[in-house]
Amino acid sequence: MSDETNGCEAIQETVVEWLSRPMTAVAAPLSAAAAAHVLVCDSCREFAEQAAMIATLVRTDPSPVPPARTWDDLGAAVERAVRPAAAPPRRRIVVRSLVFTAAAAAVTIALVSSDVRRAPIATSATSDPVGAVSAGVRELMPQVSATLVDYSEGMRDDTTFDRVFDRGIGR
Amino acid sequence: METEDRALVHAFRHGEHSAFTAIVIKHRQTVYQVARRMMGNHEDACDVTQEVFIRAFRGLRAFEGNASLRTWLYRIAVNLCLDQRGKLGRAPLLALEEDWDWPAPPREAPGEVVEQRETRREITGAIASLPPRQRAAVVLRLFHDLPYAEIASIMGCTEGTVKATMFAAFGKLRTRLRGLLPTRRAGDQRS
Repeated sequence: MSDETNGCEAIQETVVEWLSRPMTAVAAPLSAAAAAHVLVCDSCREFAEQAAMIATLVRTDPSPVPPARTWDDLGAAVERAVRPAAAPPRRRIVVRSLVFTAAAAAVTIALVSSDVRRAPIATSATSDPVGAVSAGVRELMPQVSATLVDYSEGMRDDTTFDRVFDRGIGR
Repeated sequence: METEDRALVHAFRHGEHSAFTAIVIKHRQTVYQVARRMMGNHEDACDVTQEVFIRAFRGLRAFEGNASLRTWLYRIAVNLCLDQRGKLGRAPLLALEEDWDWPAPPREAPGEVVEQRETRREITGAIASLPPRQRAAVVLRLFHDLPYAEIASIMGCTEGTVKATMFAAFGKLRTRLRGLLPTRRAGDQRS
């Protein structure tokens, strides 16, 4: 019975199961049969003794104790890592800010373009169109006076511009 | 699932952030020890422990509660360790006397303390020499006293596979620790 056979291997597997807690992990009849075999089989008895010794040695090995600050560091690291998950995702924030910027830009463009399209504000006909230019200049450059008159009229009628350019200022 | 864990998970799902902190405090020690035994050094064990709880935070809302919270956390830890097989294979694992913070030593004679540490070094070295899945089975079985069914759930296999894995691990440990184990002499044989 001392040769290690397939039968012995099955017994030894059961022996490893004996090392569990609680011992009732192995069914009682099988346990009894294995125990009976171990009593008469040197190989299995040696295996059982060594397995029990291994289990004892391993179980009496002290549990590792982490350095003092480990748990503080762990808590802080986990907190840091999971906090963004509680807040809105970064992508959503970026999209939201882009939408807001685009909306603001659209409003600004609409306001500016509506101002450009608006008809020129009419000025009083009684205003002196040439008052800003000195008499000396008007004498030297008669076309300046005519242009100023056209410009003043253009405030009321923007087609005057065409006439001003047709006249050829400065020629 | 344990009543306390169930209450904590329930509270967390209902927005009680502090419930997650309580879960971390309750399970961090054992998760760390599994990782430490598997990875063999404090730094890697810390990384694994941290990642376990980050994944737990993200997955706890979807956690169905079929297994216990402890089993679920261990499963994450073991899978993370097994994912780092390369690291497990090349981890030195023997520089433990310098690396580990041993509990306060008993008041034996200095010679006995040295002998005990040498024995521990051999045990840890033998466990470290096991293939990762065998190491996981031994750690969960012998250090954490988990039943085969729970180990099977953690490792994603059948109980039979766990038993076979344990048996194979014992075979390797026997060879590796031969010097520490009792042997039967011819005269001890029974008639």
